Amino acid sequence: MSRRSTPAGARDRRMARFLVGCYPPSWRARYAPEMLALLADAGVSPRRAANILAAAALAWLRPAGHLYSPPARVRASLAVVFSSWIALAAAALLFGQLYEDESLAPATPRHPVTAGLYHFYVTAAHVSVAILAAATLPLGALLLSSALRRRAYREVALLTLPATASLGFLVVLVVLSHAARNAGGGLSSRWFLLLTALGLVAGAVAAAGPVAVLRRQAPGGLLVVLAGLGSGIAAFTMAAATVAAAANALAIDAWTASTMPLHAGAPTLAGYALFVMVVTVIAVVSAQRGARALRSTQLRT
Amino acid sequence: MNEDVGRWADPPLLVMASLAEAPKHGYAIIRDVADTMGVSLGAGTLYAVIARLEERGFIEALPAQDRRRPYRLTAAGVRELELQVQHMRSVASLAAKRVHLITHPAGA
Repeated sequence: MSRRSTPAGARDRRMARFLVGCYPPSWRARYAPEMLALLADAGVSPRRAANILAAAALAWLRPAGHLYSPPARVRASLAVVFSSWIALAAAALLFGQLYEDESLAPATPRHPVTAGLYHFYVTAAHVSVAILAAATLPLGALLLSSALRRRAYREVALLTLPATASLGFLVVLVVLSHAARNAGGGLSSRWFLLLTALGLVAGAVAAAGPVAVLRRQAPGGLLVVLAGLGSGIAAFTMAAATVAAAANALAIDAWTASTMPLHAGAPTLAGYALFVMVVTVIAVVSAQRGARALRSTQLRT
Repeated sequence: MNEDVGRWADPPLLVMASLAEAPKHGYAIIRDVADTMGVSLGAGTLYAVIARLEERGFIEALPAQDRRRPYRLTAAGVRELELQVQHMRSVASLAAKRVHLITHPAGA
């Protein structure tokens, strides 16, 4: 191996920054300057870039223990998995329910396959909500009581964001549903996509409140572990519900495309599937990191 | 003996062997491993190894010099490397005896 005699070019430096940027933040905080120096010395070949990308993926999956605080990692995982659950729930609710709402999409003869998918979606979504509620409400009550005791009303407001954001979105949904019914037709694909985007924004706002309080109060102990485990199980269940909702939509599209006003089409469904996949992968990776941190900390005791 | 470091020609062992000579920064380790052991370590692999060895307390970072941070073996790292070398030596000795039996079978 020979040392490069010429300084790394601007393209190499940009590529080096991109490659180092693929690592987790805690890794970058510790090793980024020296790896950038190494790449400035050695250059960025395609083989080296592939090696760094593979190592970066492993660093996300299995971060070195000395780079983070285990209790903070567990809280961060809980926040990510909880946010993922809300995103998946918003997507499942919109896609599944809008396709079934007769005011938005006039009734069509029920095919046994779509009926089965719909029942699976409804059951999985309800089970997921029940698991999440059972797992996170004790921690939520703890955070709320702590905020009330300290008269931290901003934290109280943040903790109520899931309810207020959901309520706000439901109001928009009801208004639009009435408007569509009065117009005598279903919901156009454009409005459907807009509603989906609004639902995701509402979901992000709903997740942001408790996550901010979680970071501020930094609780530990069994309730955090319980909330983390429950959120993980609830997220997987909700991911299954979203897959069933997408399959249901696909089946309805295939059989009723000519008569149904609400017709998402293959590109929308593909985008939806990609979204679900990305959110699920993020949740899985984060849950795995949290579980790993849990094994190395005293949180269990 | 640490199983993660024990496999033959594993990057952790190569890095520890390189640092046994003297403290080195990342690029110097890559060059040394390539020049003296004939193995080309990727930058991603190297820093994954550095993070693991640091996590286990086998190496430690020295103050950075112009962004380049040298590393050195700790006392625990030296002990681990000794164990690995002993293990490799016993495996090599056993392998040599068995190879000798194959190449020089009794009664041949």
